[in-house]
Amino acid sequence: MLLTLLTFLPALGIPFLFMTKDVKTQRMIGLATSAAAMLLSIWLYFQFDPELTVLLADTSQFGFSVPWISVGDAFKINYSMDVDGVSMLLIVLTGVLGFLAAVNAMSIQKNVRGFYAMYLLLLTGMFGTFVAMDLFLFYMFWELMLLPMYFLIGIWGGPRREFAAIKFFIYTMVGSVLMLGAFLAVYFQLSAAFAAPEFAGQALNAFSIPDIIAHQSLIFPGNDALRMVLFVALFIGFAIKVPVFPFHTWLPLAHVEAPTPISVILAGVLLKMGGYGMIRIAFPWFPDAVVTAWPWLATLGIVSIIYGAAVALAQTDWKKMVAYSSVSHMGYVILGLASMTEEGINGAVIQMFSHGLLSGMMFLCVGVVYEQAHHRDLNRFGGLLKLMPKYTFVAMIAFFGSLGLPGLSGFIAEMFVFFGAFKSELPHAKVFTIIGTIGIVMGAVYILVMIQKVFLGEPREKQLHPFKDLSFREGVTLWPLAIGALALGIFPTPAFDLIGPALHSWRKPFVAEIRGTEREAGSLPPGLIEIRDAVEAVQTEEGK
Amino acid sequence: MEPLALYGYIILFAPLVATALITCFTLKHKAVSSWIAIGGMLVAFGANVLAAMQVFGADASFEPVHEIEWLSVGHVMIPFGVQMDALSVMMSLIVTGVGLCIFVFSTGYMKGEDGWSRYFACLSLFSFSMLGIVLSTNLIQTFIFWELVGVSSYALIGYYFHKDSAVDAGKKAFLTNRIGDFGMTWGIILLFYTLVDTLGWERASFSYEKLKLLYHASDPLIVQVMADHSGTLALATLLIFTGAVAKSAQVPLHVWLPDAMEGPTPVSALMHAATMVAAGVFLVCRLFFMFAPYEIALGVVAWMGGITALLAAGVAFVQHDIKKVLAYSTLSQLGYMVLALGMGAPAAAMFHLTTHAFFKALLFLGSGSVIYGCHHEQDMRKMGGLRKTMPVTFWTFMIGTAALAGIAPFSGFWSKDAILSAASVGHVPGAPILYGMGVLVALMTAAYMGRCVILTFFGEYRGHAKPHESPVSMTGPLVVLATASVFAGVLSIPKGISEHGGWLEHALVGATTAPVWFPGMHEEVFLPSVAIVGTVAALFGLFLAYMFYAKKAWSIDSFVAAVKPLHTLLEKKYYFDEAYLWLVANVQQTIAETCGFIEVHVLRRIVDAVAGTTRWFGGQVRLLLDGHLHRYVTLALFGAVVIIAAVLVGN
Repeated sequence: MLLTLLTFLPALGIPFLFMTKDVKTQRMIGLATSAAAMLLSIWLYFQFDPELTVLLADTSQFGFSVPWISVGDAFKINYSMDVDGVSMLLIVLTGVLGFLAAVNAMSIQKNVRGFYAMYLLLLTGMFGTFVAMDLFLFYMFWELMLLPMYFLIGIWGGPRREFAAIKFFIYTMVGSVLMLGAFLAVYFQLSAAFAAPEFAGQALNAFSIPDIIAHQSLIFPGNDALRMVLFVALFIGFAIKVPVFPFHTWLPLAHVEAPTPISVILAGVLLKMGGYGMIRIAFPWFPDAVVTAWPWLATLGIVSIIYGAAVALAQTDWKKMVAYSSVSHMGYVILGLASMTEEGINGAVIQMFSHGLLSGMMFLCVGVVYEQAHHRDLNRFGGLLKLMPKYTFVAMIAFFGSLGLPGLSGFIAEMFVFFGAFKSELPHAKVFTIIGTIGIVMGAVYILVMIQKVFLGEPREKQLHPFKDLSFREGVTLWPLAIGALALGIFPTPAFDLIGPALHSWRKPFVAEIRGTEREAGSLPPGLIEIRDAVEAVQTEEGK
Repeated sequence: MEPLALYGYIILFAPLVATALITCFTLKHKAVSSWIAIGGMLVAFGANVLAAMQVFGADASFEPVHEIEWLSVGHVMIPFGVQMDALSVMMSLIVTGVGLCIFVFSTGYMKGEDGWSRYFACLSLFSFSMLGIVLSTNLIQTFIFWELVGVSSYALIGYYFHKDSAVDAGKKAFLTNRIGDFGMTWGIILLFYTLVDTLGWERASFSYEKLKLLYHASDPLIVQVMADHSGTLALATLLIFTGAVAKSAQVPLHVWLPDAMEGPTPVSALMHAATMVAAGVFLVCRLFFMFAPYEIALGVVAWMGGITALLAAGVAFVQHDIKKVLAYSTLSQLGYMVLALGMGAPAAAMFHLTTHAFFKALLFLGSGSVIYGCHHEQDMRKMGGLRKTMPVTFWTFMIGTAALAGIAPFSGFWSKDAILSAASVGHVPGAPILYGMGVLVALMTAAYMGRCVILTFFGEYRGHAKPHESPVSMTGPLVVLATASVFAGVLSIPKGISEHGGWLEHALVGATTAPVWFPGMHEEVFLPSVAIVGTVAALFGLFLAYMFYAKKAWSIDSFVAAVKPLHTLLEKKYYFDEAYLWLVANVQQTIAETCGFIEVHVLRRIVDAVAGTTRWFGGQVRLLLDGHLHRYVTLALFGAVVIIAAVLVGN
């Protein structure tokens, strides 16, 4: 029940918002509620045992499933929630960013009550998505995130907020529709399959995500084309959220128009929904399709990496530059996940977490200056190092982290993604990886150019009000993330320990699939494959 | 933990602690900051001396490697630790020793500058990063500190951040090094996974000692596998070498080094004498076992070094900025070291690295003293006659010049001789040509240093501000370094001359290679012919400088007029910068702008088109559904007919 509490804790604050007219009290309610959610998420992390990787099993720590809606025998929806290491990591990220963004949002003046009501609802949606284990529930939370986000951009955003909000809404809606179609197809197919006598007494549920994963081979067995179509539908649905090239065009606009705290949440948590959806749903449902689609997935990954970096270099709006850097960084996630190696998938998940910290920081940094300068034109800043030394110091951690400097979180993630992608047994993996590494150099170029324009040199414009250095509140929002990025960069082991076991068992069906494909293609003599598998199995046992 | 490992960790972390203390507590207290930084360096140096006593001591029983597991994912295990063998202890002694001199010198030179605490914090961070490379036990750790050196050099070169030229120089240094790191990433990944694929997870490793075991294995299986994949392994080695090419500023990734003179002069001394640029040479020494089996790898290294040495020496002739002369001289000397590596003589390279660290730090600090004394004037055309006003600086600078020119018995003579004799008997393709180039570079070095000294210290003073000698905090380090520059040669006087000679070489054998000698590896001996050729070349170079600049017997102007195209080529530094600028302005910018264009005009158009189509379609449907019942009925009937027809046709 702890997961229910975590999910609905933010929403519990909403009624209190409506009990007071005092704006300050409303802010305090929003802040206190998100702080409570953060503390609960951290507490859960310390309670959590990452070795329990079977979702919704009797052994699972926080997992539970109770009947919720049922229409006759055919249509049974459970209220089921559970977490594994991957979702635990993202829940902590959500909790922390949720609180820090709420602190940042204290400067919001317009309709504070409405803002926090929407914001808390958004938090509930995000936690819910990460813990839901029933398709219906998942979809419900997924859509629940969408609506508050629409209003948060559309009401509290910049000059073109309404257009940005509608674009965001429609884009995401298209993704949702594709997803829903695939969900229904899978559901009807599996509920028919589960009715077969051999499954009698197993209480399988075609809405249950773990049950679907365990029996993915029953989804249109043999019909590779249809399975591929369903995978593509799910992939696009999630790729829009990630966002992967070429489905990313909603992102820069939404980011530029969104107020700072919402940009933080958008980049820090919402983009992770895409990656999470791929890990939890799209990939494990169709491992065969993932293996077949590898060249396309890898291509999309490296195009995102390089294209995102190139477009970031062409930007003059600081926030847009940071937004495009997200496209580039999330490309690593796709490349790492699709490589299906232990190193690659671990790197991809760490990259998601690291990007949450660093992009959150970067948007906060842009916000600090924007609030004083009221513009974000890269060509109009300069010399901030002299004017705001404390701010520059913490901003450098964010930007150099984003550039992949060792000692900060981004480096570890990118390194393992490249290790994994290079080692991958999938075709042409080495070529894809070589091209992808160009991103290392390009990332350095746009970050350094930006640093030069904003922080170094002489101020290019006279400021009406001289820049004030980092305030206490801004420091409170930035420093925890900076420390997190440093900690993850220097002592990454706890994070890898958290996600490792879950990803290890997650990867098995894909490896089987790759080996099976090899056998069919005859790239290795059949005997050799068995020997290698046996050797690796022994090694794995020894490694434990 | 053994005391030796403990010394290693103290050496490594003392400068980091200093950085942290300054950053957290003493940013506002200038004097305290500089004392903390010097204290950190002093602690590191002290621990280093203790470590050296153990490593080079008579009782040589010690465990050189201390490693812990830093991170392990799947089968990949990344260790962290310190390696305390002759090579790394020698190198860290140079870094901390010369570094200490430079730290002290800085307290004089940086007087009155803004951001004093920031300067010392960055200096300490830089030293930490450099020591991390030196003491590293494995490729990943080296790479991590390799990048940290990049970022801290970025901060130091761009120290005068309000000057665009300084910021540009810092950016250039960082990006050029990133390109090297890019190759290095590739080399590391390729090496590691080739070993994993062929020898399995058990044997593959990032650790130098374990890799060395593979390269020197006697197990026929491993020998066979290594031989089968020699092409891939040689490629991986050369890719790792690109990292060294960038850090040690070899052609064509040398362009950052001259620009890096934009940093404060002590920074130039630190980076370009003892630390950053030496890192590449050090890395090749550390990984020499990977280069040694492959003639192609050694050949590439040797030629790269030879070409760099020659090209850079040429440019040094046409520079007017005293620091730029030294910068190109550094490039040229680094080329020398790399040439030695390619000739299979890592000990000679390390020897020259050591002596060079002393005399080049001396020369840079000497130039800093000159610049300080001339009120921040760097143009040699506005100096002259300074030997009278700055006697200490003058005499120490002369010692440095003699060492750099390779005049016996100064330290540079011995190390230069070691390199030339290695080149004279080298095995790589075109070795005789490389030897000739080496001798030519020796001549040119003496000549351009002669020019530099004559222009700066002799003749009449041509500047405006009144020059003065520098304070003790600056001349003190000069004297220390000058002493070292005179005597550092004793570290490895060849065996042919002294019975106890070849000490350094002997000490380094275990660290740079296996106890066995490789076929391509050259054991150093004293060759009188080489010594004579080298000395004659150097003296002739000095003679040329004297005739052209001091006696003015020959006119430099008419000489320049005679070789106009060559002179222009040198002045333009072979157009490397122009070529790179063109690449950045055209290729990189075009890619960025094309992608920006696609973003705005292609992708958005497509999305708009989809949205427009939807809207148009909705509009058309709305026209149909206008509320008239009879139209609905007609449509329904029409639909039914179509379906029935379809079914009939289908059957």
